[in-house]
Parts: sequence; C-alpha cells; structure tokens
Amino acid sequence: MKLKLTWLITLFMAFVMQLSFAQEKSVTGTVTAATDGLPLPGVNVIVKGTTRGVQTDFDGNYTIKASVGETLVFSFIGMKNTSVVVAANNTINISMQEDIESLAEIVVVGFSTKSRDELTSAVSNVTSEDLEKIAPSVSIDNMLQGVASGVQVTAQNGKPGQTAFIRVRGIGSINAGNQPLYIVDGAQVNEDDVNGINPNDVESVSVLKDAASTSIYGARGGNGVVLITTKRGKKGQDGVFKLTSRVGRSRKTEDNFTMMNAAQKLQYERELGQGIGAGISSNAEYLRLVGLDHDWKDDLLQDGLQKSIGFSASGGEERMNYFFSLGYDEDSGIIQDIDAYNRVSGRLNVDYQIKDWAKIGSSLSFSSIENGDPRDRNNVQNPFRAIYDYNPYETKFVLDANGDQVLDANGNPIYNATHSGYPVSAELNQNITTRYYNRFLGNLYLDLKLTDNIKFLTQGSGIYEQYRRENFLQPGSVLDLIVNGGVPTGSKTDNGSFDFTYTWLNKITYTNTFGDVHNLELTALSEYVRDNFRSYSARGQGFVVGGPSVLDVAATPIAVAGTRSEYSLFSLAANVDYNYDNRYIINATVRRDGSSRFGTNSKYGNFYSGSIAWNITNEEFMANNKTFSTLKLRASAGTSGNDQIGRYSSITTYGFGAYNNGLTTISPANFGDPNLGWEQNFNYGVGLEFGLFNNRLRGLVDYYNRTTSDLLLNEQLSLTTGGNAVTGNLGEMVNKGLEFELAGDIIRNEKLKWTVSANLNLYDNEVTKLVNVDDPNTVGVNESDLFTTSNFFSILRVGEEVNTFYLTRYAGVNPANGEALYLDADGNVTNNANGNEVALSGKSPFADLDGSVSTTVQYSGFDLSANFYYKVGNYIYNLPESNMLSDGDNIADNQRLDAFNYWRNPGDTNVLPRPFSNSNQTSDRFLQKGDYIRLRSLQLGYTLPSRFTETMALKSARIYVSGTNLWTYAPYYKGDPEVGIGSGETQGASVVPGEFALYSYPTTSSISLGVDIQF
Amino acid sequence: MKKYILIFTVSLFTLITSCGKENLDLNPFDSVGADVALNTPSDFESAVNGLYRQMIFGSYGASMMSFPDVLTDNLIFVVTGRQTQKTTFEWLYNANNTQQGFMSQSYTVIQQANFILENIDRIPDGAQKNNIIAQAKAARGLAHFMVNNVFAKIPTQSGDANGSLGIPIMTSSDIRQKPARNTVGEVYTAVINDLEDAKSLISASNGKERFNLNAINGLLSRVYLYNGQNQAAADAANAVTTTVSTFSNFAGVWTDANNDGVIFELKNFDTDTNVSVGVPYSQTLTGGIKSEYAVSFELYNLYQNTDIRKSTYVVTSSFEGNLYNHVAKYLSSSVNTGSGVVDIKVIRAAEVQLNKAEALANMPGNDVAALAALDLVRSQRYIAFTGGETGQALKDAIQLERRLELAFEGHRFFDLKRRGLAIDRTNNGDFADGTGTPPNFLVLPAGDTRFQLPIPKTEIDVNSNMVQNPGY
Repeated sequence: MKLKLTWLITLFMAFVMQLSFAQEKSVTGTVTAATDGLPLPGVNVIVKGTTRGVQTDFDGNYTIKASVGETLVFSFIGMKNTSVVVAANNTINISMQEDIESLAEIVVVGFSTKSRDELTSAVSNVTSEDLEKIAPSVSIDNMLQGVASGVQVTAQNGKPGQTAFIRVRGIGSINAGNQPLYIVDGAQVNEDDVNGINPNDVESVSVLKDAASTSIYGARGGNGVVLITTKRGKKGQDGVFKLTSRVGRSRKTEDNFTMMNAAQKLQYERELGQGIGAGISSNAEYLRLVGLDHDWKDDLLQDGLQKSIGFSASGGEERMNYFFSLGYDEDSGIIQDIDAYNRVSGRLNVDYQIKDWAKIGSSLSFSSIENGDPRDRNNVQNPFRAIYDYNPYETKFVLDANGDQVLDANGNPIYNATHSGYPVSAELNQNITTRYYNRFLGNLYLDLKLTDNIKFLTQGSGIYEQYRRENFLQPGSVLDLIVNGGVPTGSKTDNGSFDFTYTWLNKITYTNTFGDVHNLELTALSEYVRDNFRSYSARGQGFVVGGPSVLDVAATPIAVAGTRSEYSLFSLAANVDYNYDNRYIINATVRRDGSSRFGTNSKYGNFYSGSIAWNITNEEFMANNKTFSTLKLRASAGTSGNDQIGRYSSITTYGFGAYNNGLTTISPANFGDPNLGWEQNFNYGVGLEFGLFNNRLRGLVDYYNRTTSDLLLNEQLSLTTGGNAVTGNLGEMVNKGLEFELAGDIIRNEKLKWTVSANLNLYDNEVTKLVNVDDPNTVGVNESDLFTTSNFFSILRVGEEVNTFYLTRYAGVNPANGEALYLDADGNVTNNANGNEVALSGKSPFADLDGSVSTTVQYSGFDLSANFYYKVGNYIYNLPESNMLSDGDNIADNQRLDAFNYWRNPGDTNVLPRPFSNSNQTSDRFLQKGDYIRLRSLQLGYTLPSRFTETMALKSARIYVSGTNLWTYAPYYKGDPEVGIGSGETQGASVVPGEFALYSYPTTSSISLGVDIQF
Repeated sequence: MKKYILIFTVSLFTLITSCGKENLDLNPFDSVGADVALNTPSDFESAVNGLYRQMIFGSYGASMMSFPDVLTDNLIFVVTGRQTQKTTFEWLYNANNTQQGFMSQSYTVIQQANFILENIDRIPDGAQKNNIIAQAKAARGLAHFMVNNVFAKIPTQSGDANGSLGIPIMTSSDIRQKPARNTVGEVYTAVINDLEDAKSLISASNGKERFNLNAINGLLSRVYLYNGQNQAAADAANAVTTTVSTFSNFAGVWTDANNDGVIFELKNFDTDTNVSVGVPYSQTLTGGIKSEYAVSFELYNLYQNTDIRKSTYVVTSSFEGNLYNHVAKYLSSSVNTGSGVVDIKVIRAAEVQLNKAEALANMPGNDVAALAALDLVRSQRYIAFTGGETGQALKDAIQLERRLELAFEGHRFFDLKRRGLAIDRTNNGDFADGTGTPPNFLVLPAGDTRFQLPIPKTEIDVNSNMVQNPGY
C-alpha cells in the first residue's frame, strides 16, 4: 500500500518537475518563530529535490530561486520542518512551530533513547556542548570528572592519554573490577579502547547509575554503564565543516613541600654523620659542592607540549546523513627526551534510508596511538622518583676535578650514575620503549520497519585492537653493561597482542499508543559477544653499537612466548515501557545472561528491574501552577551483575614449563572453584527532579542503596598449601549514597547569562559479609578479615569500609630518647611497630563525599566557565614521604627540608624521631587525609560576531584559552592529592585507587589556546 | 515482501538464540584441567620435572643458596650494595618481613608432590611408578626438612627441641587445609620416613639432575646427623658411591664445566629456568663486581693459600675504588655463557664425607674412621695439609673444613644452629683488608629465639590453627 503510494508520488513529482521547469522566479519572505513572532536567523531554506538552498539572514529574511510547483523546505534546529509549495505568489512568509520533542534533552538509555521527561531512572547526561566547556583531554573519561553527580572520576595518573578510574555510585566490587561497562554506539568496548575515541567526535555521554537502567545490560551492568554516542549528520542539513585546533603547555603541578638544597643536604649529612656532607674536609670542597646546587626537576622534566587538530564534516540529505572526522592529538608529556603520546583518529558515521521501511548505517572509526613513556615502576629507572632522590649537589654529567664534563670515547658527556648507581637519563635515552595501539571500532546495522508498530534491528559490532610494544636496550648503554657483565650486547623485545571482540545484537520493538494516552513500548533482544585474544613476545640479544634494532639483527634469540584466550557471553532480554499520558511511566526489564567465565554449575544468571516515575507537573491540578516547571518523582529497584574476573578463574588447571634444557614440566597453573558465579548487585533508589520559575532554578536529589553480594574475591589460602589465592563468591558489601544537583541561572537576559551549578555526592560503604560460614572450631578468631594479595596497607573487614587501612598506630616520639612510639593492638605504648596493625575505622582510600561547583558567564560574544572539583574524607598512604622523611634510613637520597626537625635533646617534642633509631616503620604516621579542592578547569572563550564571520565566509568562529588544574588546595596531604595508581608495576592489574602514592606519573597542570571554526 | 522480511527476522532470531549455549564452555589454551593433566606415565614424569622446576624457582633457587649464609659470620654486609636482605643480616626480621616466599614455595613443592602421590595409581605398577613415588617423596621430605630448620628448632639444637613447635606436615594436596603445627620430632620422623621410602623405590639409573640413590643416601646422612642419629648418618654416608671432586676438577664444578663430586644438582639453563643464583651476593657491572655481601674477613683468612677453594670461592677486586673479597661461587657459567646462571648443587660428596666424619667423631672410638673421611675431602683441596687430629681437635678440624667447603651453599646457619652455638661475627669491615664498615650487629647469642625465624604474618592471618614462634 505504502509502496504504491510512493510510486505514485514519484511519478507525479516527475511530471510536475517537467511541467514547471521553465517557470523559475525569485521567492522572498521572512521566517519567524510562532511562539514569539521574532525573526529567526540561520533557517535553512532548500528547494526539495535539488541542491539549491539558502539561509535566512539576521532579520529572518531570505531570497531563493524557485519555480512554481516546487516545494520549499524550511528547517531549523528545535523547530518542526515546514514545507510550502511555491505558487503564484512571490512572497512566502513562514511562522515556524517549536518542535517540543527535539527541544527536550534526548538521553540515550540502554537500547533506546528517551527524553528527560520519559525517564524512570537515574541517568547523568553530558552533551557535546558541555564537553566543549570542560578542560580538554585526549581521553573522554577524564573529562567527566565533577560533571555528573554520583560518578566519581579519578585520573589513574598524569600520563598523557591515560584513562580514568570511574566509580558509579560507590565501590561495587573489590576484585572483579569496578570500572563501569563502556558502550560506544551500541557496542561494548574495553576501558582502554575509550582512549582511542576522539572526544571531538562525541555527541553525548550518558552514565546509567541505577538498576532500572543497567539491568538491561545484565551481567555486566553492575558497576554502572557509560554510553558514549558519537555524532551523526542531520538530515536535510547542508554540509558543515568544522575545524578545531588547540595548542598548550603542561607542567607537573607544584609540590606543597620543599626539598633540601645542596647546602641544606650537606648540613643534614654532617649533622647525622653520614654521606658526602659528613666527609667534607675543606671549605673549598664545601663551596664547590654548594656551587653545584640545582633542581633535578630541571634536568629530568620539561614543559610538555600539547597539540590537537580536528576536522569534521557533517550533514545530510533527505535519505542519508553523514559525519566524517579526522583528528590528530599530541602530548609530549613532561619527561625530557621522551615523546609520550600521539594519536591519529578518523571516523565515518553514515545512515541511509534505503526504503521507507528499511534503514542501514554504520559507525566506523580507527585510531592509532603511539606511546613513548617509560614503565611505571618504583626503582632507579623512574625519573619521577629520581627528581626527589637525587641530591642537589650531584651533577647530571660526570665532571672532572676542574668542573669540566668528562667525555667518553665518542666525545659525548657521561651521565652521572649518582648515588643511586644508575643514571635515569641513561634509562630515558638508551632503554627505549615504544607502544603502539591500532584500533578499529565499528558497527553495521539494518533497521527494518516491519509494520507501523514493529521495528527490527540487527547490528554487528566489532572491535579490533592490535597492540605492539618494542623495547630496545641499546648495546653499550649503561644498563646493558650492567646486565651483560660489561660486554656491550644490547637486547630487543617485541611483544604485542591482537584482540578481536564482536557483538551481534538483534532487537524487536513494538510501539503503540492506545486512546491517545496509553503509550506502550515492548522490546525483546538477544545479544552474543565473543572475544578472541592472542599475544606474542619475542626477545633477542646481540646488537651492533649504533646499528639497527630489528629482531632480525639479533645474534642470539633469547625467548619466545605466546598466549591465547577466549570469552563469550550470550544473553536474552526483554523490556516493557508503559507511559500514561506522560504522567505515570512504568518500566520493567528482565535479562538472562550466560558467561564463559563462570563455573559449569553457575554459568547463567537472571537479572530484573522495575521502575516508576510520576511527572507531577503534567497533572491537571498543576496546570495553573506558575512556580514549578518540572516536578518529577521516580523510584526503581533491580539487579545487575559483574563478571570482570579472569577468563578461566573457575577452572583448576595445570600448565607447562621446561626443566633441564627442554624436558616438559607440568605444575598447577590455577586453582579454581567450579561453583564460581556472578557477583550480584541489588540496587534500589528514589529521586526527585525539580525545575522552578521556567526552569531557571533546577536540581535533583537522589538516594540509592546498592548491595553487592557474592563478591568475587581472591581468597589467600594457607602458605602450607602453597599460598595460593582462589577466586570465590565470598562476601557482601553495601553502598549507600545521596546525590544533589542544583543549578540556577542567576542572570538570564539577552545580553548576559550567568549560571552557577553545583553537585554534591555523599558516599557510605560497608563490608557486610566476607566468608560464608564462621568456623565453629576456632572460637574467638575473627574470620571476617579477608586478606587478598592486592592489598598493601588495607584489609577487608566486616563492619568497616572496603579497604580500610590496617596499620600500626604511630604515637609520636618519646621525648626522653627520640625513639618512635607506637600503639600495640591493645592500645599500649610500645617502641616496636611489628605486627601491631589494627583496622583504622573510617580511614579508607575512598572519599566520604565529593562534587563540583561550576559557573558559566556569557556576555555578548564572551563566555567564561570555571569548574572546581572537591573531594573529602579519603586517606592516602604517603610512601614518598616515608622516603623523604626517613629518619636517616635513606640519607643517601635527598630529603625534605622539614627532615631537619628531628629529635636532638631529651625533652624535644613535636619532632621527628631520632635518626637511625630504626623508626621509619610502616605505620599511620604516613597516612594522610586526602581532602582537596581544585580548579579543575577554567576557560575563557570569545565567539566572533557574525558580521566578521560572514565577511570571512565562516559560519562561526570561537577562540578560547583554557587551563586545567591551575590551583589546588590540599591541607593535609603532602604531594598531589589526586592519587590513582600508586606505582603501576608494583600494584599490577588490581589497583585499589588512591591506596598509596609511589612515584607514578604526576598530575600536570596546563594552559592551552584553541580555535574552533565552522564553515 | 513483508512476509519474507518477517520470516527472515524470525529465523535470524532463532538462529542466534540456539547458537549461544555450546559457545559458553571455553577452556584455556595454555593449560589443561586436573582430569587431563595426570593420566599417562609420561604425564607423571612431567609432573616430577615440575617439582624440580619449582625447587629451582622457589625453595632452592636463589634464597636457599644465600640467606642461611647471610644470617651468619660467613658474610659481611657491603654498605655500597643495594641493601638487600639487610634485616636478615641484622637479625631484625619480623612477621611482616621474613622468609615468606621460601615457605610458600617449599610447600608448593609439597602440595604438588602430594598431588602426584594421590593420583599415582592411575598408572600401572612397576619400576617407573616406583621411581615417580620415590622422587615425589624425596622432594616432599627435603622440603619439610628445610622449612622446619628455618622456622623451627633442629633436634640436636637443644634438649627441648624434639617436643617443641615444628612445622605442619602436609600429606594431602587439598589447598583448603588449615593445619596446626606438628612437633619437631614428628617432622623429622616424617622426613626420614619419606627419604627411607624413596631409598627403597628409587631407580638405580637416575642421573645427577634428579633425585637418585646416592642423593637420597646423602640427604639421609644429613638428616640423621641433624637428628642426632650418628650411626645411621654414618651408614647412610657409607652407602653413597659418589667420590669427592678432585683438586683439578674442583674449579670447573662451579662453572658447570664438570660435575665431579656433585650428587644431585638442579639443572638451570637460561633457556628454561634461568634463575640467577648469584644475584643475592653480587652484580657484575662495568665498574667491576658490586657486592651485596662480601666474604667476611675472618672466613677469608681461614682459607690457606694452598687451598683450591680460596681462588674458587673468592675473587678479590675493587669496586668504586675499594677492594672487596667477593663471593665467586656463582659468577660465571661455561654452559650459559650469556646469562652466566649456574646449576644449583643440592648435595655434594664432600658434604657426605664431612657428615660421616662428624657423625663418627661424635661416637667415641671412631676417630680413625672419622679422620679418614675428613682427609678424603682435605686431600682434594690443599696442595698439602697437616692432619692426624684426634679428639676435640678432630671435631674442630671437621667443623672448620665443613665451613670452608660448604660456604655460600646455605649450610652455615644450620651448622651453628643445630649445635646450639652462637653466631659470632668479628668487628671487621666490608673491605678486603678488614677495614670499612663493620656489622651493626655482631652476636646472636646461643639459644636466642631469633634462630627460629618468625612465621609470616600472612600465614598467621589466614590459618587460624597456626601459632607464632616465641619471641615475635
């Protein structure tokens, strides 16, 4: 029927066009908005079926050539498209109606999109416009900090291109991973893949926070879901080119403490009677050393250079729309001699209405990243440790007696090994590691309209990540000579991996409206995910000094290795949405998931949720109310899961090795539990959203309660059975919280708009259960303590916050003899810290509250936005401080200036312990409160007036200057308070974010200048 | 048309729905399940090889060949080193900082040996099966013996030793056990039973790279000696047929050019296990050897100039302008020329002769035989030596020779401990001439609780039946 109609129209159109071809004339008119009658500038006026099109001017006027019988289509964002057939009259004035649906904020939830009004769940949404005002970052997840309530974002570290730790509504898991599920254009991606996405391509980021919205993701939604939607072209919009470019400088944030200078360090050494300072025999020698004073930061670090260039083209015709983009990002990072990061990215998103009832489309992107930063480890190869450890009187290069540089055989200066025995500059210049990531992310879909009410979508998505790492230890380099007994050898390691994940989604949706007020949407879907991972590693040694570095050149092959693993997930889900007159909205979801990661007996899990919302302002009794423009209550409850554990954790396996030159060996590889199953999240919450005075003041309050049961934990077993750790469903934990958002337009008129907004999140976490059964044979033993291998200074204990610090309590210095005092487990004072650890209630690496305050001012062309992020109530173990105030133990390393404040005479109080009194033991002496507030971003922009841009044939142009982390206030913690990873290679894969600091890549502050042009 | 689309859609949905299930049973590619791992005799042979590999990585590897010497007067802490094992050297260890890795790795050997023994009936009776049982029991016995001697008393150490806290004896591979401690006497009985069983079952053709009949007898001579069973120790030693390495072969033993006098060694190739046995002692840099621990001035002077061991065990060279006596025992390999890693000598014929000499000298009237055993060692170490000792002089000579011969092989601590002696360091410094920085701590008095290292805190935490040693 419809098909026939289309044929008739086409025939008719062809007929009309032939007839009217000769009668072209000029049509003029004014376009106004129906609501206020004011002219609308920038409206697209297109002659349907042609490429002829113009835009209305500042006063809403237009002139276009058209023939009688042709159709003019008027389109403008936020307005309904209007079509008029050209008749005899040469003037066509149009009054455009507001398109209510498109004006409302569209939020992507699960497998559908909704307007804010229709939502029954807690979702935070960030649009591309919001993102433009935020401190720029190459990784989109870092930009979410402080932007979405209930979503705690901590930079993993300051490394260029590094992703962030994101915690949605508290700590949901302990060992099974706490990162939310990332979905890009409908396909699951790994956390690292987010780094491959150009933030300029992102249209919106939705964070699904409660069970109502996450249970449609079933087994993987337990930690919340981050939905990233990339930009797509708009139908009927002429192509728009956009050029963005930005250049900036970055620098390590200033320390809030002072290190000793040369004179001070020498004095300290002399006082303690150890080191160079203690052995100085002449004044000349002293003066020479003092004269060498310098800050190692200047020798090892630099001001980083950040560049970003992006180009995009987007638009569409009636049946087709497109978005195309290319991007290049570069961040040299702050280590001298190393280029830390660059990324090339590209994207093409296309949708094509091939039939009235069929649409196809794709989102295709690639990115290629090159990383040159050094390994993150706590040793003499780490420049971020060296800047503090190296003494200010030690020089970068070896000097002779006259103070001149000593040269090697090739005439190059020789790096000074310093007291550490290994010059970190040699590491940076001669032991070079480069990592490459090539990623292809894409999906293809076919969307069929089977009847007016039933739609079917099938979508295939694939992510291919190719990773390659090359490490070349140059022959003859300092480290090379160390590991090869003084013989220049050189070694090269090539390793990498191939990871391919595909998802096949099929979805049927039925929508209908009955009696004008009953809106029903039913969805059923199936999803199959499969991942294939392969890795390899090859190493060879024996290279020519100054020669090439490919493995082929290696004289001796040393090692080869390769691994392979798989993962699969199969799911069926259904969703019901019922909306009565936009007043009462009910949503229910059920999902069944099967995962290959779990034991044979427990592969499948069922998840469900229900939620309800009441739009009070849509009630008749509110019709006359002038105060509330929005008032909405919602409530939800449901379950979701977590499967982020090792792929084969549930299986006991035996692995292979070699002994005695190639004899095969078999030994245990993993001890598994066949009943290993899902980690379950039960989540309920209520929320209130409000808008007052025409939404001039708006906000929301949310309460949630989230119980994670069957926690996937690694249980440390007795050393007498080999000291293995076995993954099991071992505990339960509750997260409760309150979220507040408030935003107000303090001034809102044509010229000036000033908005202030703030959010506050209160977190409460408690471990409620750890092992299934208390052992009746061991009366009095606290079996609720669970020790896992990933904990350094903290434990899990029932009744406490997760990862509560477990340390000996420091009790100051004994004024009589200067020894450090501690409390033993019973609270008695002792001078021995051994084995006296207690759980420090209320002190954990997790904050009690965090949030942000931001403000935006727009005045004519200027815009100013500032965003402050604050965090309160977390504790950090400050390991660098234990090295810098080491009570003499680390006297070979430079010390903090306040190390001078040590016990000297009986009766001294408020001092550090007496040097060399074996005082520098692990205790809460180095546990510090991590509270801080930081000016996360500050941006001043200026949009050029249209009279300038018009003369330059531009649609718009904006220049801005932007700063990140420009100011920080941290009253307790000595160092940068934003601690994520302490030390990458010390902690391995299972990091408790913020548990301790240990010389990971530091946080940087930056200033950049950018230009955005559209034409 | 619509109908076809509908059919297409429905069939697509059905297809994906039906294909999911079997795709969820995925197994790893690099390892096999417990049911597949051990079935054929060759699987069991591989599992036994796994025991040796595990011994290299954990229990024996680097730690056992160094820390029992670091604890004693054989070594001196070098202040310019990397400060490794400093708490061990200074006897400042505590429950958080003890030989945890050594303990868990040794019990890993025991767990795997138990797993082999529990499943051994999957293969037919016969010589091969017996040989597998023998090796598993020997590995289990040796591991129990070593763990006990580190964390608990040695029977001859004091009168109360046999009834005191030993270590848990593990005879099941169940990883969820939380065992209590056995007594030292019970541990030694279990160790001897395992080794005696091994002796009766072991194949006569096993090479030096695995437990063999001479190795079992040699280890029995050590265990019996530690247990105060002198006659049994001497008898076990007499059963060993391996002869003491000759003077001319001796240097080559330590670069693996030959294995003369070695009874049992863990083969260590850089292509498979690649464990750097010598790293706890020193690293070789461009500027020379950088030692963590150097040969103590006292021990160095005990080596006579005609002693082949002086040049084999010690190299005197300078580092950063100072002259040190570095431990040379593990410095280079003639097999693994690149990495320089060497085989780990678990037991040598010289020790067996010294076990025998000591056991005989402990029994009145056997001085002649004891001296003969001692001279079997001395005659291959010195160009010339004055012998003929009797009585206490003989006993002293045996102990001196034991210290000289077995230095840096993980014996000194146990040789002092089992005889109830103090560790008594001289006040000399770390330089070759005895100057430099002397140790901060000189004496660990006889009977001190620190002779029994603390049980790791992790074990106390996870095993409710475990009790800590006195003094910690």
